[in-house]
Amino acid sequence: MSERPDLKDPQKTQQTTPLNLHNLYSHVKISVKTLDKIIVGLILVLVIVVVYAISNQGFTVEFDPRGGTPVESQKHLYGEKIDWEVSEREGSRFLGWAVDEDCKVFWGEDQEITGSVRLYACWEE
Amino acid sequence: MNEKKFDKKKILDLLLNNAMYIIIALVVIYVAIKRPKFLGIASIINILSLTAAKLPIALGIAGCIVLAGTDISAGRIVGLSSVVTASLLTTTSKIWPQLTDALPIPVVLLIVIAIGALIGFVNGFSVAEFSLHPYIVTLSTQLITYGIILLYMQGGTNNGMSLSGMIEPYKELITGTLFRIGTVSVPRYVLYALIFTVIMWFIWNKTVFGKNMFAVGSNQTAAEVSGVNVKKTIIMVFMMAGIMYAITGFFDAARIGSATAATGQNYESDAISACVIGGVSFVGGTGKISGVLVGVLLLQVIFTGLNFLSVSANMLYIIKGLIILIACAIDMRKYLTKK
Amino acid sequence: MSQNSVLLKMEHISKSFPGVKALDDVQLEVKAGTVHALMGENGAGKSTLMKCLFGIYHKDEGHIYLNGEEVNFRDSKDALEHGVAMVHQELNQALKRNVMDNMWLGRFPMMDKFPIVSEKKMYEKTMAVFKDLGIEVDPKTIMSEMPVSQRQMVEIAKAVSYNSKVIVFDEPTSSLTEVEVEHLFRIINDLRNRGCGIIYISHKMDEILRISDEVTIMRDGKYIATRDSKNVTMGEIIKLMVGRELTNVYPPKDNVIGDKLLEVRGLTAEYSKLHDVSFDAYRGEVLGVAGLDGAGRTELLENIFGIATRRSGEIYVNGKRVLNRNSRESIKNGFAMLTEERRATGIFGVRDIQANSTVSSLKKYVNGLFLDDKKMYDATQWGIDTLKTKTPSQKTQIRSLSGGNQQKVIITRWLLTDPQILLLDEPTRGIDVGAKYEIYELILKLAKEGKLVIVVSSEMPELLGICDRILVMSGGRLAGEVDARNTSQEEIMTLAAKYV
Repeated sequence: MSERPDLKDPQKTQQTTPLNLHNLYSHVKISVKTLDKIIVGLILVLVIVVVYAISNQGFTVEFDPRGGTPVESQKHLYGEKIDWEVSEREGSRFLGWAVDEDCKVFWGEDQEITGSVRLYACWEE
Repeated sequence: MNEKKFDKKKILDLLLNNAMYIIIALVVIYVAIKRPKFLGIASIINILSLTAAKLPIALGIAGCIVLAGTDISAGRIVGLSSVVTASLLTTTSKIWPQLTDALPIPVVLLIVIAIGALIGFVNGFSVAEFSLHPYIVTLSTQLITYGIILLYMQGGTNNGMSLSGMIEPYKELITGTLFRIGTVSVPRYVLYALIFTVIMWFIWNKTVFGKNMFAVGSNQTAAEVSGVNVKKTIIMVFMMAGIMYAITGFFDAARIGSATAATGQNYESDAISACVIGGVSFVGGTGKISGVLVGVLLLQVIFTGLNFLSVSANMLYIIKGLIILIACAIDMRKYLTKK
Repeated sequence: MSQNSVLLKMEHISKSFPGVKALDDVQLEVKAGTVHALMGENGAGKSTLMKCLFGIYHKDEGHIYLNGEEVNFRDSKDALEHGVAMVHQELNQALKRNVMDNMWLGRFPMMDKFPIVSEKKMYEKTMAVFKDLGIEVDPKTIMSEMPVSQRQMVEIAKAVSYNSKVIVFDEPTSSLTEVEVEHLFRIINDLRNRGCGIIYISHKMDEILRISDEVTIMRDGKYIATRDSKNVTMGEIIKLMVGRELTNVYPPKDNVIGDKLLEVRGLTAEYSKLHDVSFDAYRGEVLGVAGLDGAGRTELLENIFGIATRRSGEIYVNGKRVLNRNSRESIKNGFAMLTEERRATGIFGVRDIQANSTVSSLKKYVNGLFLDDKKMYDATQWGIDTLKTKTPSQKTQIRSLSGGNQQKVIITRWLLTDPQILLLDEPTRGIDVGAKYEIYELILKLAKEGKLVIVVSSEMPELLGICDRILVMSGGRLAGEVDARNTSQEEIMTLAAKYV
């Protein structure tokens, strides 16, 4: 019996049924004019952020030597190549820099940078 | 005098209601001037492919938003589907060491679809039967799914390592060349995404289920009175969404070339933003497939553009958030002016 | 009492809604230290008048004077701060919060030194008011854990704590037991003795005669009369309330009543007052359901249609038992139901006319796998043409139409399901006179086609004008059945008060 939906069920009418949000904006007491100002304001903020972002452009390339000599991180623009540096570790041979920790995908010396990246040193014992 | 004022108001309306598109157009123009490569074939196809990759998940989530709900478990379902696909379509599966050969591709597809549908069912059932808020239900399934992914990655001898080395026929099926423009190849999954978009368009516009979905989204009580099976509709919308996420995950394993526990993380935030930009309103009961398509595309254009300008990922998050806020304000404006 | 000064004076109040004149030159004068009853049928304009007083509606014309000074309240909070309070019919309280939070909401007493709410002060102040009024409630009780009567007491205490001079009671006894009513009356008497002016809105004659000093009667949005309660009889009040002449605004009745179609036996609801209702109804009949607000009319229809939970009772159509466990089953069994709250439970606001018209009959338009646009278009257009719905196109959002046209779209929705039995709950509420006539015509046309139409309405002349028989509900029970041709509004009114 109680499985059936009941519009008059006091317990159900007291809690707002979650999907009954269809009148989402009906209680919004804001004039279109104010809303316009808010929209324009938000757009201005967005523009400022974008301008700031563009003026501070550059992707960071970080190097994790994983036991080798440290390599300083670099800042590059889109499409540039990294300034190639090599790390050294006692008793190991440096194989190159990889995108993943498992050394499955290596980073080529001529590869173009398309975003911030962290590179891991790969070693052969 | 009066007429002039009216015209001015009309222009303002037009400008504000389409503010999002205007912003994006300006960004595109700026990027195109600064980096002409942005409008090159390679870049355009890159944008299209990424759009196609993100379409199915957005199409799924859009249904939940039409119900005036949401689904934040989407990304993790994509992740689960992705790791299951990667672990079963390889000859050297560490999770299933006893598996010497890859399973047939259709079987794997069916398995991940079943997983997606099951989680979607749990979401939909909890929302429909217990009147729980979709946010809280999908938050819990999101966490549970992530836990399952982590456990699964520990399975066999894998020990949480990322999964790769999928069989070639599978990779070919998803990322193989559909056709070439110059030297740039368009991957096959672009076609699949298009097919799914068409199917979803038919479901939304041409079926009883689709019409019922909109009815439930726009007024649940009225739908109940009008003879719509509200519970069944809600459950089906969430299941359909789950299936779409599973398909996204199935594509992603091949597209990215590997699957990790982090695959799919935060996908839902992009998908929800795309829906809101595309006019699928959180008011419920409104939205179009074309809107979802445009939303995903525009979001991709703006982020690829910003990437060309070497804007760091940190700033992208802030920009994303602002874009969602503006989209919401515009959505509200459209609703209020019509009132 | 005549020496008492006038506390609140409302004069020449008029208020129009599109197509309806809700208030027409209404006046009300409340003296200090008196209880002034406001009476009238449902829809006579009592609550509209009160809404104008509290600034919920803006009056078109007229003036309101409080202690001789003209006032125009912006909202009920503004009114409250000027000493005009209302104890609502549906209590507007934060149910999850405790008593004192509700009392001091929006003006929490602060600590002396810090801008922090002082629970101690709040408790003491609440206790002081309660003691003053003789209310025995712990201020720390959560509202939802208390019975309605006590919640009402809190509301009254809140009004008193604002030093209210004018307190409006809107149907205060509708959910109280006799003992609780006595307590309420004691408090009201106490308030009167302190010099408050009480406006008391109720349908219950005996209460009115017992507690009030004066009675103002309204009808059809107009002021009718004010009488001294000591020298007025119940009969006189009823006469004044219903004294409207039946004007010829109803289409001619030429429907023919046929065989028995619907049989309802012992219908009792699980969550509402509806108790043991049985009746028969026939093909081609227009059956009215009359009663006061809260008499269980809507609940009766909802229980028949299966959207409210039934405790017991049986429904037979053509002698065969039907279960009507939910709206889908009921639609299959040939039922259709137009709900009372059009906005809340009728329309799909953001959807267009076509979607709103076809939602209940979608399966009819399926062609193979998909819906056939042409069929849906034709069906919708049929509705627009037959009911003369005024809409720019089928693609217009329904919320942009007028009330009458929205109603026609919803009726279209139901006609498209090919119903045998139509349950119409307040089909003409909130729509203008011209559209009302069209709806009456439609109801009679449906009856002539051999369908059974059950109409719930608060407008008695409407029921008398279009129905064959009228069931009168009272306190959730069936108080009686009258023949619409040879009954009077007085007879119905008396029946409606039977179980109140």
